[in-house]
Amino acid sequence: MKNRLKVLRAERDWTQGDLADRLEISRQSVNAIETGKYDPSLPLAFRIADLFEMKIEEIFQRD
Amino acid sequence: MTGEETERPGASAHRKAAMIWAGVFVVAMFGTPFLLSMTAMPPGWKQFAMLMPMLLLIPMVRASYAAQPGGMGAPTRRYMIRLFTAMGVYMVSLFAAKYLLKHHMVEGWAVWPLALLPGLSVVGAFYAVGMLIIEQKDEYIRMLLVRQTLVASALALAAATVWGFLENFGLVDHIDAFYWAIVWFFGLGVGAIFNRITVGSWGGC
Repeated sequence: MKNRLKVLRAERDWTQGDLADRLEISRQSVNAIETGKYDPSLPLAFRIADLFEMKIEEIFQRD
Repeated sequence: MTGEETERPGASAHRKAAMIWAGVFVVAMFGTPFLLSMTAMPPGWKQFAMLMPMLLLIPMVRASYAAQPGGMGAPTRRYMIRLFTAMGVYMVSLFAAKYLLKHHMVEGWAVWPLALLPGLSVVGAFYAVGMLIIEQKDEYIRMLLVRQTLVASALALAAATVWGFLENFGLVDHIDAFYWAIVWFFGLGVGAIFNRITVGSWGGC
């Protein structure tokens, strides 16, 4: 799955650590999701979408 | 700053401290047998003294975790406490059992609890790993831990099964079953390497 997490984070001037703190997950997790090595669970995808005030499909797309 | 992670304040000092503790640990591991060889301590006490450098792992691990982004989370802290407690009980109970039995200070039914304690303390280490997986809130880290334990279990079960048949056909010597627990813990390390190669992160135990 592709995602726009890195772009959305950069637009807000957040580091991976900043995003990790806001989502209450580890920086490793943010990095793994951003680089496409890990697809988040649906609950975490909703938390990410809520944080960016977007729909899930606006952040995550099929390959 | 938009890019990659900036280092936490003090992370460098913690990393340096971890390196120093690691160095002290290595020196102690090699130095202790050398020093003990020059003393007239009874053999049983020598074995016990040989295990003392293991205590240096506690500050080393603490400093190592403190250097990581986010530091040591509550589940990891509880895991370390459980693991080191289990290791401590293991060392003391094994030493006590060997010493007491060697000097014929215990016999009859009392041998049972003595013989059970070292094994049960290793079970305590399995419990610590299991609880780390259960208590881990971060789903990605939990996935890494599960993968690590799967690799460890696969390795230990495969090795035990193959060795069992080889032993059965008289091709290899008998080895005590508790060695498969050691293979399992070694497998956790292999699992961490497997994680690192496949998803880029080591894991957590």
